[in-house]
Amino acid sequence: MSQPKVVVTGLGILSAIGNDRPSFWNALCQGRNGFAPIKTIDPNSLRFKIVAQIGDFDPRHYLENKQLEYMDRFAQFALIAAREAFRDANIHDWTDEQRNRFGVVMGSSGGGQATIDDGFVELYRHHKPRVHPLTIPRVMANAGASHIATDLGITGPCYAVSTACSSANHAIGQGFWLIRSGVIDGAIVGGSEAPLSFGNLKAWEALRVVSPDLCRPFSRDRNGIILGEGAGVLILESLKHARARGAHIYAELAGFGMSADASHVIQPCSDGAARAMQAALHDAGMCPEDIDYINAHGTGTTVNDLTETVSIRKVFGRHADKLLISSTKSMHGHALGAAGALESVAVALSLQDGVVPPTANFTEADPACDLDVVPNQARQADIRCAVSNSFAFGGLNAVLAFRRWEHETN
Amino acid sequence: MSTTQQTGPATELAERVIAVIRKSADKPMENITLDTTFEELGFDSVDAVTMTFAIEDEFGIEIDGHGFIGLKNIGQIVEMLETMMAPPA
Repeated sequence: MSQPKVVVTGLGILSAIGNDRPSFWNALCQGRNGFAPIKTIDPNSLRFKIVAQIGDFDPRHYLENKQLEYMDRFAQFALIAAREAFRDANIHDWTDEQRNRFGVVMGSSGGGQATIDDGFVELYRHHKPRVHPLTIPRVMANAGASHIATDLGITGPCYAVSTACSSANHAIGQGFWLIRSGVIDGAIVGGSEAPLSFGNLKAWEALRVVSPDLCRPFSRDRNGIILGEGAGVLILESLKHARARGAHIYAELAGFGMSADASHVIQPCSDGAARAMQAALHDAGMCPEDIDYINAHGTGTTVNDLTETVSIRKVFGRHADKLLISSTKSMHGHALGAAGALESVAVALSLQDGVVPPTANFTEADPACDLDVVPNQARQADIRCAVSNSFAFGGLNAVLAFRRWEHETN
Repeated sequence: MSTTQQTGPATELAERVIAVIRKSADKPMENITLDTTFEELGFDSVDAVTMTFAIEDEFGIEIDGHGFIGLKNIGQIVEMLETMMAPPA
């Protein structure tokens, strides 16, 4: 018996290049980045100044004070993006049974980082004897998922996944498999991250992987990541459920693959990344030649981009030279546990509109990264199938495979 | 003569650097000199970052950019520190 198809029927975004889906997609297609000096912290206290921070964001515009009391910035992002995706999917008037058959799976690498920072400042700097009584529910990594379920009245499986920079792809993949296996009919999936608190930024500074100026994935002069914040949320449904209510379909989510490098905590491994891509293709019933576009992990570090190039060549062989490959982190930054969600939104829109967003800020080709990385200019392309890569510290790889939705024939 | 061509620690600074590095090494290393390479010590680029941190702590300084990533041996670390800590001309 063939497995039920799973489709994407709603998208929501908060990012440094747009606070909703249309503005995010518009910025990606224009190759416009959201990098600027950090606004919330004295830049002289950091070795790097440039981040991808959400501009003009006032959570009170979206959320009630009573809700905000319980929420760290990362959970605010999750709920606001989920509400946009839910509105976009146009789901309403549903029964208790339908609510039981919907789930939430959200990724976050760090959970409530700002809340932890605030508490430590009170304790260690101001020498106060206590922290805010809601510190624990604000910090917990499942806060985003829980607030989404509560706000939207979803009563099926609900949990969070934390696998560093692969968190969102693991979360999306889990939701996808829950639907495909028949456990639920639909899911709100994605990731959210708010990593721009002072203590966390100092930790990234110490690791010496952050660029002092710009994220230039696959360029010869690339010199590191730019940290970003935000959330991406997708509504996934079984095709049967989506059709029954006449939903708009952006794309099909067709495959999910995971692997562990089991080699080094920080250094990436091309074999591990390749095995995750192969697993995603196998799960989707695709062969390498079916793929036209890869939204790369493409962090902009010397090692990641080199290793990812090697892993793509391992999986795709000579077809690698026909692939379009871009890193949208060159525009929305590296949003860690939200990264895969921002990128899945980009891939779904790419497949729908036939446009591949570029690798922005590209300056000079690196002979060691000799793939078509769509430098600086978006490209119109007939893309049938696309892959979205996420590779995390800890050696954890998660890859999603999407297929264009053919409205006439399906 | 460049520091990297010396066969042993010649200065107090070099001895302090070697002491820090000896603590970071996986296994006891008896004969660490300025010519000892990161490869011989079994250090990768992540070790270069943690070593930079340890040296910053030892000398109370801040090293910009990628720290010791890209350097090959201990003599090059010492040269970098000598340049950083030289009194202004």
